[in-house]
Amino acid sequence: MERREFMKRLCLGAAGGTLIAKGIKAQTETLKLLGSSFIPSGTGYDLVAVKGGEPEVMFDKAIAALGGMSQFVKSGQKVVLKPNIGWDVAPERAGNTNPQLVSHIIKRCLEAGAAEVCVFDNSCDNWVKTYKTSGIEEAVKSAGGKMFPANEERFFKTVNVQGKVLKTAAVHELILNSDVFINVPILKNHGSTLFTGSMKNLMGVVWDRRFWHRNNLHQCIADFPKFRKPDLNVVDAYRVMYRNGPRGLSMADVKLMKSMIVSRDIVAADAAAARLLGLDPNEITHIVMANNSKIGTMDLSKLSIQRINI
Amino acid sequence: MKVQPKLRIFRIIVAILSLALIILAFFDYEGKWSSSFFRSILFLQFVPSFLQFVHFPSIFATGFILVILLTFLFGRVYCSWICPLGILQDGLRKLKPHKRKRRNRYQFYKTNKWLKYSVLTLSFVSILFGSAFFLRFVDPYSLFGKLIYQLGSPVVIGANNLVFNILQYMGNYSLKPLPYPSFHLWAFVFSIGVLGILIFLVFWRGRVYCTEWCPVGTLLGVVSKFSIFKLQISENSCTSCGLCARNCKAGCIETKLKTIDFERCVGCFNCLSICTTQAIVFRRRREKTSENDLYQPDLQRRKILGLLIAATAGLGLKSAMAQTNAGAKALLPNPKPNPVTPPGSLSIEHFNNSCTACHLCISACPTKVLQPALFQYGLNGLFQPYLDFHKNFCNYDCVRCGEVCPTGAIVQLIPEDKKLIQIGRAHFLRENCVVYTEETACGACSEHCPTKAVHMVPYKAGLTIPEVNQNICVGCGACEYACPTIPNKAIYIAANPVHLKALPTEKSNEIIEEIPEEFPF
Repeated sequence: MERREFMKRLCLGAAGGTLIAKGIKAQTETLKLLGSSFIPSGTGYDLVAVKGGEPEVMFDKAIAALGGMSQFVKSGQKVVLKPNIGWDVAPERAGNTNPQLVSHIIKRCLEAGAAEVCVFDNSCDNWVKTYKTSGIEEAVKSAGGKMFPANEERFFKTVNVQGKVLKTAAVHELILNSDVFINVPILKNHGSTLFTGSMKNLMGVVWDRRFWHRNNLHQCIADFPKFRKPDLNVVDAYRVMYRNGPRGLSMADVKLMKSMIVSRDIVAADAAAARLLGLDPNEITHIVMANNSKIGTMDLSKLSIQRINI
Repeated sequence: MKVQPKLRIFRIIVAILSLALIILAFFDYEGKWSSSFFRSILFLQFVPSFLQFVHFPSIFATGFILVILLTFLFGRVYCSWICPLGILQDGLRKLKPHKRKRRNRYQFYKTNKWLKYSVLTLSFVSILFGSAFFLRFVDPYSLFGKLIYQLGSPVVIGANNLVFNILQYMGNYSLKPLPYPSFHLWAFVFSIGVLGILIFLVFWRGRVYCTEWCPVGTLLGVVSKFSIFKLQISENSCTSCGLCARNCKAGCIETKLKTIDFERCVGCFNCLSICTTQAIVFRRRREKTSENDLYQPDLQRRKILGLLIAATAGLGLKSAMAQTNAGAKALLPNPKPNPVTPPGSLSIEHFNNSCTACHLCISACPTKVLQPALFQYGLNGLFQPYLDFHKNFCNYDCVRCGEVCPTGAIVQLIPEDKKLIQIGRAHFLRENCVVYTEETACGACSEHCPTKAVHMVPYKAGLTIPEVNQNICVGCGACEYACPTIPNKAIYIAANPVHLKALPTEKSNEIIEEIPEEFPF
């Protein structure tokens, strides 16, 4: 081997690695063609609110009231679960969705015949640390689900949203090629949007959050569900950060509320969750905006609600 | 006496192990290994250990003394057994294309004493005048670090990501994709340059870098002059065949005179195993192999040694002075904004003095907020790490950089202490803020703030706007990173040239139970 040849190979080797990686990516992208499946409504309830139990028990009661897991997950379907895995804090700090709940939902999905259950979030803190510290990575793996990264732009694909402000967004490919989309936010106080629930949680399925922040944050949050509404929203209000959100300083910011709100209607779920936090949904701009553009209903008096005490 | 020819094999095994462990340290992206692992494998690295000893004398920083003792016993074995750059050069030599099946054709060359003693003196003077600047270009360990980070890690990360993609395609997510290191043109060019020069020198004459340039090699060379064990040629057995000289990568065997310039010998022991007549032996200095005394006093060398001892004494004096002055020294305002240095680096001054820019912290930093500087510190801090809040921000609970730093430039901290170190302070520019200019909600800065130093206060109808309490700000840069405004940020961190203490925030470990009696809807 000539010296020049050797140097050439050294450079080519490095470049080659990246190119091959990109080629494989392109192939997988052509495989996406699946939309959301048709889901018949099982019972008459628009929203179920549960309190007083452990996350697993409350979820089972709520799902039973909505007609059982089979209403949402069919045999062989691919399910994506989007909890809030935003911050590098322990479960007790209530900065992220309860790992017990995440693990339980995965088990129920698999029991209902799901082919696979994938979980991800575009974390705010370092994703590797956040996945670990939140306890969610371990919970997902032990329940038989798959933890997926969302740390690089290549996992996201630009789609048309056709919102008032948000015209396009780069959305995580799991949202694009899963059959069932279950949104599992945790209810928290938020410094600027006042509260974070189901719609705000969807900021973690896009790549560029900064665009939302500088272009009318509330409108972008309300616009996104026009592209894709979750098939089910499970609002975790077991531990609730009632101040200093969304990251919190310590457990002094957390209340044990042992509650849960489950609904197909993302706006209704957020309206009920806001009330649970002591807020008037009319004061939360993105709830009003989403209601006005018919994403869902914020008027809880018009909905049939099942209230369960354990 | 069949042990001596086997020294070569033993050397190769130890060298591969040393190199492998250091490479592993540079590729520990997930922080799997403990601080003590890093401390142990880098314990013997001469320059890092020496720098640490100068600033924080302790038993954990005595690796360089051990190396000097080792050299006093056996000569410069450090250069072939422990030094990663030395071992790398031996590896690079294997890439040289062979012509006509004749392996290793080295030859004796004359050494340039002025050059190497100048480099050594400059290294000392540089530290004496409060800068590790010069060392960043000559210290073999940190040169190796820069090479492995700038050139090696993209290849390793590429391979990792390739395997990740294949596994992902098969539905397996057990591997984690890794971000490529950010491209820094000059650091890259520098590393390519160093590698190029090394390959050229190694292909040409072997360990020229080690015998003619490396300050560690030169210093240990001086010590090796007094080594107890030395390689010696027994005149009676030697046939002057020249086989040893042709296999001496340090070019220090002169066949005609049957002498070994042991000051340059890098302790590879290839000559021991190659000699067919066993004329080369490794034995005590006092046992003369011929009527010639191998030890000849060299007056020039004595002068240099004297200079070195004086320089070391000066260093000790300087560190003693620095410790007494640290609190009282007021830093003049600097019109050029200072870069933010990692938590644990105490001050820019300390950091400039003791960091050799080996890039180990940069490769270990989980958020990749640590990036090599160009002129952010001025020329003095070339390639030193700084916190680049456009790349990311410093994780509140993370103390990784201090755990891996071998020179004491970044002091090891426990997370609870680190959370109160203020490396800089947040400054809010209302006129740049989305809430002010667009009158829409944002709060990305406050959202990311781990201490709520940046918090939201009521603004116009339904809106909240950031406000900063600098007393509890730690300067992690989360606010600056998250701020969405372009082209400039509405909130940024101004560095504390000397790190300060942040006030603690109210914390509790108790959760109030408050299950609602009735649903509020």
